[in-house]
Amino acid sequence: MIDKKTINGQLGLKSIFRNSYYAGELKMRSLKRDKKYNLVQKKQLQTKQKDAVRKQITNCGKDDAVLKSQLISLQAALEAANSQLFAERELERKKRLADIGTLAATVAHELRNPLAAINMAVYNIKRKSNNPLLDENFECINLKIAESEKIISNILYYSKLRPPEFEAVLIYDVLKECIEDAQGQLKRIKKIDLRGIKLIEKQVIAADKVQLKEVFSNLLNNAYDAIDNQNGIIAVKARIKGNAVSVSVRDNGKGIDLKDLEFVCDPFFTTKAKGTGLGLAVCLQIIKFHNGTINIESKLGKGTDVRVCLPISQGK
Amino acid sequence: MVLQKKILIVEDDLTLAQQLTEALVGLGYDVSHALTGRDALSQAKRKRFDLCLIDYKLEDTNGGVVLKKLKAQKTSCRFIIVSGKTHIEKALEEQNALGLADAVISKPFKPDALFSTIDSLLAD
Repeated sequence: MIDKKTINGQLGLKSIFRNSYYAGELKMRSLKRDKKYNLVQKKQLQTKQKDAVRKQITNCGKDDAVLKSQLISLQAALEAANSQLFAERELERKKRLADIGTLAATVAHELRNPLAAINMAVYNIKRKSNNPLLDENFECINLKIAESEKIISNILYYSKLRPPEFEAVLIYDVLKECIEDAQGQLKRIKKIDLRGIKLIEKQVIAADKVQLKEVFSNLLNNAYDAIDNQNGIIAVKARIKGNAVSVSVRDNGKGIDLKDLEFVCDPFFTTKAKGTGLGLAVCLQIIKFHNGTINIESKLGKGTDVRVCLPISQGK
Repeated sequence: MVLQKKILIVEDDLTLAQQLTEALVGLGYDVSHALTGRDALSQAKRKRFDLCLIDYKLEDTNGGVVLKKLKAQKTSCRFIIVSGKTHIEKALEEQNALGLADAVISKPFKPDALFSTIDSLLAD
């Protein structure tokens, strides 16, 4: 009896012989071929992928370069726009300040006539009344006329500020004179130690003496206004720093609010109850004329340090 | 009798001119007033003044021009230029008129300072 296996086996053998190979080998061949094919395909794919990646990388590189250049040009454009905006704002600010200056100067000038008339009227009333009881009142009017005149002079001084007339100036003498004047006028002030400026005693600088006096007087005046208590101290120090003379006026007064600090040199900016806001504006202008610098450091409640640097000589 | 010295005030501010006139009359001067440069010149033709007090800024002209024209009349008149202008000397200099003025006074002047200047100029 032939079992199924045998038949199958016989059949299998038959088929093997008939086709000269058996299915297993066929399968193997097919598998090998597939594998080879797969390998080729895989390689091709890999190459493709590699190419794609390479392309992508190249593209990325290109994109990156494009992006970089775009970024650079964007940054440049931004910078240009920024500086243009800054220049425009600066120009606008300068124009606004110039307009205010012109207006103030015109008003100030026009006020001199009425003030002169009031002055004369007071003189006439005083003479006619011949009443000593009125003297105090007249004195008050005269005082206020003088104050108004001072304000007008300040405004006009600022608006008519001319380039300096340089001469050889012993800066120590000017500073000393200003300190002594300040101590004479400002009563609450503690004695300012002149030893602090001893280092520049013999130093001559090219400057406009009158303008220099204006700067130091203003700085001392500001320092004095900042100290409102009995412990107020003003220290003035000076030294030679390379080709320049550095003068610092420091007080332990109320200090400047951070939000105000950038405006303190703007004309007509003031936080004082009485003040034209021209002191530092005048200082800044004069210092600019002298090719110097001004630096203000301040801490609210602690005090302010104003440092002025003036070149010893003025280049052509 | 001492002859009264004659003063001409050339000033476009009427109130100031009136107050000045009152004060100067009180000091014993014979005072006239002109509101404009043209008025000043025509008054100076009719009357011989010892001193002219001229405001720089006038409605029809400026004090420098008036000063030059009055000076051309070759009288012994003295001249004071009064002004609220800051660089008045410079403005006069530019017109070659600074040397023609005997004094330059800026507004608002102290009355006593002005009167003593007038007094000393007229005493010469």
